[in-house]
Amino acid sequence: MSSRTRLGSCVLMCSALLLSTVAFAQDWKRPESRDRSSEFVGFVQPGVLYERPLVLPGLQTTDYKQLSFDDKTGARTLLVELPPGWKQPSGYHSSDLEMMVVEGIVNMGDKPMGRYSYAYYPAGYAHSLSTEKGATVLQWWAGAPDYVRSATSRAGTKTASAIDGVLYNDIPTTVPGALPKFRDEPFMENSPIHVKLLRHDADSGQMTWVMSVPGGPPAMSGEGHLPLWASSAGWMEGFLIAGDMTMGECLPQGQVVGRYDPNGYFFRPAGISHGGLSQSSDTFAVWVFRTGPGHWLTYHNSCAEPSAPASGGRAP
Amino acid sequence: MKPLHWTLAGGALLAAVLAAAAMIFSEPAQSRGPPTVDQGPPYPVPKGGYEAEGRPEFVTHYNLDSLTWEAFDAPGMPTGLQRKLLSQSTSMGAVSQITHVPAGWIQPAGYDEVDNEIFVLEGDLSIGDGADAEKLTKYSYSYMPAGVMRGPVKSRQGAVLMQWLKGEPKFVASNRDREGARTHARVRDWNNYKGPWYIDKPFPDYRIGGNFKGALHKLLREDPDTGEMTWMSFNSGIPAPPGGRLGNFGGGYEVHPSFEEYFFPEKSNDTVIGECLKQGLTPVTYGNNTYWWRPGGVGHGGPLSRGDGTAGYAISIVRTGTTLWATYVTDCTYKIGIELTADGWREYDYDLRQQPQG
Repeated sequence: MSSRTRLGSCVLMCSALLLSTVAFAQDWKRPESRDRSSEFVGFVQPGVLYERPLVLPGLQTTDYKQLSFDDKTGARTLLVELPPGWKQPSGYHSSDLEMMVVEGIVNMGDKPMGRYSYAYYPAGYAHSLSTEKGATVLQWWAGAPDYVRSATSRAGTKTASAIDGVLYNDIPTTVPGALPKFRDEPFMENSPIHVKLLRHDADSGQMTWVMSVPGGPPAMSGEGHLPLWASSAGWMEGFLIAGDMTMGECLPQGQVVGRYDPNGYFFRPAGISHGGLSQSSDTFAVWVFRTGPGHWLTYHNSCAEPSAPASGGRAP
Repeated sequence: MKPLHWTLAGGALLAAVLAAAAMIFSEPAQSRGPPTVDQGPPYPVPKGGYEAEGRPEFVTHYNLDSLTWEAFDAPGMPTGLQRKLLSQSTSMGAVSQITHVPAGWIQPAGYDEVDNEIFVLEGDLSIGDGADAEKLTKYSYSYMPAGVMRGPVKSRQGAVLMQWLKGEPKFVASNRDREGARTHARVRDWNNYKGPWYIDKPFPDYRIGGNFKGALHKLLREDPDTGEMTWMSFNSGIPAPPGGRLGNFGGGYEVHPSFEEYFFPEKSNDTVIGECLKQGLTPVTYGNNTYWWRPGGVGHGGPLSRGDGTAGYAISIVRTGTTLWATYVTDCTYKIGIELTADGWREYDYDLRQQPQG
């Protein structure tokens, strides 16, 4: 091969590589190695994840860390850094978007909303967002992210179900028994667990809620003496807002135990047991949970045991 | 420099102007009437005694570092104990202290001449012998009323205790109770890790309108004769901005008829509380291992109270001289009370808190 030919080949290859890299960076739809629709994604600590550019035509690019991804639906959970001055003019998305402010202040419409404020925008619901000093937001997308600039909502949008920004402290604190029922076992009377229901979709049963528990094993922190393992008929997703929690997961390779610290994350497909002897918190735990359609907890005594009704949830 | 008498005259004039302005602009006394429901505790409010004068002043130590160890010796007590003195009653000799028990320390069977309460922060302590012995470890508690005999007290690896003695300590070696000792009030072998936290019963209702949703408790002792209480509490919070709802104190200040004595064995971040002290409203910072004694009737809370902007939790050990009770006022003048009703917070004349409408 002549030197001219070699040089040409090199230029061609380098250009192709460069172009493919650019295309790769812009194509945030690329499949992930861990698909939450088929396997457990857990013990995720966003601190060790790489930032990626979130490129949505019509919007300023932001950085995000991907916590989980569903290859079948395009749904994903992202931790997004909104830079100072970032704005989303009124517009809507093709899929449902839920959002919680983790750091900073986001203007939802004209309402400045601080940490742990929550919003739910059904597909097609026009809304505007902005931040003056920057913010970190947790975003739960029900499908592939997109943005359509529009002053009005798309026809047929379920506008009545939208939650266009609510402050954490404006959401009533209640006991777990006040949530839509999701297990046969009663919650302890006088339970130390506190919950805030952010959203309940009456049609699908999907819920988003915050749970605060004191430290200790479940028997000390409000779950009484239930069997050690629980599994759900629907998916469960959790992001640890504050505190710590160690938890076991009953995975195909066996029991896996790990610790969640603030911003720790999991997505647990239906049917995977969790809990175990190791479940405990050294301090306290404040989780924001999402539970999918059909969420119903059953309890059993071992990792591999099939689901069976528990004997009761009250401490002796 | 101005002559002194000019300065004095100027000061007097300024004071007169300010006083006149205060008269003109101050809100005229307005009667709000009594509360809709009696806000007083379900027992007579003590006017004197331990609950009122155990420590007459507000006492606080941000942590234990500023306190030095000293020998803790008392008549009849085996030597070797050390302590960090947290507070002391000059009239009664009662003390609150961190006590260090050295490894191998042994005290023979007997009783204390004053009530003795211990809460183990670290290490081990056994009380008595054999199968019936109390085996105290981290966050164990034991209450030994004056004159109630106990078996020998030992520590194998040493221990650090939070200890309260309700008078000048004195130990008497004995194999029987002192006559008239309140054996029915004894609490033994309590441990934090045996059960969950709770909000309500067996923790008493401590205010009109229901106990706080966010404050969790474990009741260690409610004295069957005096109502004195010792309990643990657990609180956690995340730094969410305030919403439109008023907080647990209705935006005002909480007042207890009894002293309230706190120690934080665990606190992950600092909290500031506004305290209505003699020198005026004072922000006081509380953190890990903070101790404080707040005399009865001192309001606390208000807009000065705040977190440090981080998420955190706290475990506290608390004592009161009566069954816990709380009322609420708008400010440190204690003139306007606020009561929690089904329709929200409502103002009333605080002096009439036990004379409800109708």
